[in-house]
Amino acid sequence: MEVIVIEAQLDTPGVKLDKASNIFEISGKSLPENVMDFYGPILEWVEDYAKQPNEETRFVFNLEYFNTASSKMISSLFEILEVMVKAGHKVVAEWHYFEDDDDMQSAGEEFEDVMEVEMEFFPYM
Amino acid sequence: MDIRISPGIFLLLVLFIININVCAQLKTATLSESDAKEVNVLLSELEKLDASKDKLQIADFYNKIGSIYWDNESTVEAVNFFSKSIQFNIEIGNRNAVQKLNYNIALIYYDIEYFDEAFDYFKESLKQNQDLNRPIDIAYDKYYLALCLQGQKKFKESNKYLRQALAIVQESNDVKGMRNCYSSLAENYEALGETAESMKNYEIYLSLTNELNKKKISEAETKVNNIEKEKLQKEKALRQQADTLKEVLHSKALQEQEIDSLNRMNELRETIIKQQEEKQRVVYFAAIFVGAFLFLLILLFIFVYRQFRQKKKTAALLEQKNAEVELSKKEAEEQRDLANEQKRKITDSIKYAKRIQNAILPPKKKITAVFDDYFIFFKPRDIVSGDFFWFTRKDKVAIIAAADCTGHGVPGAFMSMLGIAFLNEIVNKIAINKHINSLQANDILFQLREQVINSLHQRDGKEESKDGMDIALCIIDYENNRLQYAGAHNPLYLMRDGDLISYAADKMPVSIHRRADQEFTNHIIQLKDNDCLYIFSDGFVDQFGGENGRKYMSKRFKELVKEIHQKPFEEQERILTQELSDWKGEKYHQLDDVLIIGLRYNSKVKLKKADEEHDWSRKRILIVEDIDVNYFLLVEAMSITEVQILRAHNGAEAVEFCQKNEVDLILMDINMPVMDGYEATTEIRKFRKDLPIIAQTAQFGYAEKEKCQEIGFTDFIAKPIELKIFVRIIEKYLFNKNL
Repeated sequence: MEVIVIEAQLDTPGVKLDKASNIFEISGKSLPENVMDFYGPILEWVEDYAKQPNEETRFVFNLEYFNTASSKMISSLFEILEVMVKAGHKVVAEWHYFEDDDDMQSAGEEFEDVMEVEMEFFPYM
Repeated sequence: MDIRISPGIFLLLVLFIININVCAQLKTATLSESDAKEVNVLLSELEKLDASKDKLQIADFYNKIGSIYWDNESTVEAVNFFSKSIQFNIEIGNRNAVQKLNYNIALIYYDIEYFDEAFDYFKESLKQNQDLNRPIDIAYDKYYLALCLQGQKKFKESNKYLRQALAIVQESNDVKGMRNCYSSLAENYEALGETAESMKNYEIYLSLTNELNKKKISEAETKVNNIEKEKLQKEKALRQQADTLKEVLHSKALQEQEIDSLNRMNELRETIIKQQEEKQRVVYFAAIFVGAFLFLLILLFIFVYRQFRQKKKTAALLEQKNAEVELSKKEAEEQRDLANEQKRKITDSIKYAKRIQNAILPPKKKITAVFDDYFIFFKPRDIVSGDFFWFTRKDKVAIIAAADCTGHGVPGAFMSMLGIAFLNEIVNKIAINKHINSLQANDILFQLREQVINSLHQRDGKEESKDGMDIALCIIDYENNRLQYAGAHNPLYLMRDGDLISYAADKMPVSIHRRADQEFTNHIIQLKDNDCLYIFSDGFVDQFGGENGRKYMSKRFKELVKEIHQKPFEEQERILTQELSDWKGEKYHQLDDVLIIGLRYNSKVKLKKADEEHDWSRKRILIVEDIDVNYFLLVEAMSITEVQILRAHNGAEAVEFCQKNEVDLILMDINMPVMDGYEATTEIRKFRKDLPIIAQTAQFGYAEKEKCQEIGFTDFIAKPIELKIFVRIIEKYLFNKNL
């Protein structure tokens, strides 16, 4: 599978998707003008990956901020992870957040609550 | 050596230049000598012809004579002879010639600005071209007719012909023709004072001119290339000629050598002959030399002349190119102006939308009547906002909400309008069907979510929009000192005795969601005086800024609230405004719409009871309307009155509702499914004789009015509804007032 590497911009997060190296990461701020333009290809890639995933997938979310529209896209991403879980694959979503950021922590907790995907929380200083 | 040739060449040159000038200046009305001769010949030939037999020839001769006079710009004679030719051509039925001659005469008159005469002849030409079905000629006739009318200052009629001509040339893609038409249209509109229309046509004219110029330049370029090629070929030919000349000279030299040796052999015998030959030889060489010199001079002249022409051509081309550059620069500027203009228009329309949004948001007066110490810090990121606040009062209960719709700007604003309309509808319905005390905060959110999901068709399907809103909603009951709070993602902060109590919102939005069937949590809180309530959207806490470009975050916001909550709320708003501006600094822009509502609870506030006569909030209006948009428009039109609004989707629902409930007035649509307005009103009149029923419909003729009166409508309002009149009419019947 091709490797997706997107550098973080002012309004879009950095993304690295690499099946061979088993790296799946999204980090930074997400507030693109049109979320579909940015997330469309990413969701497509993950959907493709979900058909033949690695033995264990650790998807790293390290987001500082995302707007409401982005949150719908991230929830679509979780839905694909959920499909992988239901197909019997090992999937863990790592939720990294700034220690003081209660809002980001609670956003993660909401995903944990709603989605059937195992989550691990990593507050950082 | 004798060089008398150069004056001769000068003479040639001078003659040549004079010739050019004579051609260019020939503008007299009398015939040139050769033309006069030719006319005389033709006239004498004419005399020999039989007017009854040789009509075709006679027509032809007259035409030829007319043409000669026309060439000499002798217009009177030209028209005269062309007219004679027309007579004969008509007699032999040569329609084609008749048309051409009419057209020529028309052109002559047009050139000397006899527009009336020119118009008649073009009209004639047009008639014939129409008979002959020649669209392109028809177009040109019409174009010239338009020009004549323009000359007569009949600009509107002129435009009529131009449009007709334009239609034809457009079909045949005749760029030149189109350009001419647009140019004249622009002139006409300018003369008529319709500047905008004129500019529009002028712009099209410019772009067509541009297109033509492009074509012309490429043509000119190929021409120049061809001339260059020709020049090279000629040079080559000349070189070859020079080579031949050299060869000739060379062979002559050989001959001379031969003669020399012969001479040496017969030296003694042929001395005299030799001397004579010598003489001849000198003459011969001189002749060759002079010939060659002459030839070279001519060559030089040709070369210089070509050079001169070439230069002129290049200069013309350059000029054209410059004009082209100038034009495209102008066009770029025009496009920039256009873009600016469009941007201004869009901004203007959004600004207008902002006025509507402001009008729909609860007016300050209404809120101040209930809360004595409060603020609403509302700072949209763009002109219109995706955040909105909502407020209503039912007796001793006040309801206030802070909401945050998906997106900001225009899309957010659409959603916020929907949110406001739904909240009004839901709360009014509950307040009327049940006791005010049965209002439940979580129930309102539940119904709001239902409405959003239904109206945005958010059911299943992957492609559905997940748009919606986050909201914090409080019901403050002044009678029982009781607060109800329900939230979707947006929490409530309560400051009491220096402590901040955060009531967490449910982790689900007001939109389609996995848990869209779950109820929201209803928090019930016993209020004390001086309790401070804060509800808000996430715009403030998510703002980037500070030293490290971090988010403001809830933690910091809580500390700030703790710090300032005892100050008057007006001052708190000032502090928050300053804090936001300081936090984002110069480096960061406002990220999202910002909305914070804060208020201090005071149980002693005497809710001012409005004058009974004008207390709309106690009145109930039933709107019978099948189309959602129309219904919302009516609701918005009456939003300032606080009247309680109920809805029926058709006549049958209305009848049923009236049988079971009290209403003070009905606004009845006429055309509806199931049961129309006429039938419903007839039914309702059977048991409610005095109830004001007002018809509202778009098609309102005399017949409809008659029918409305007959059936028992109290009055009628025509759509589109005019706000002020509308409210006054309703007021009249609601309070039995005289207008």
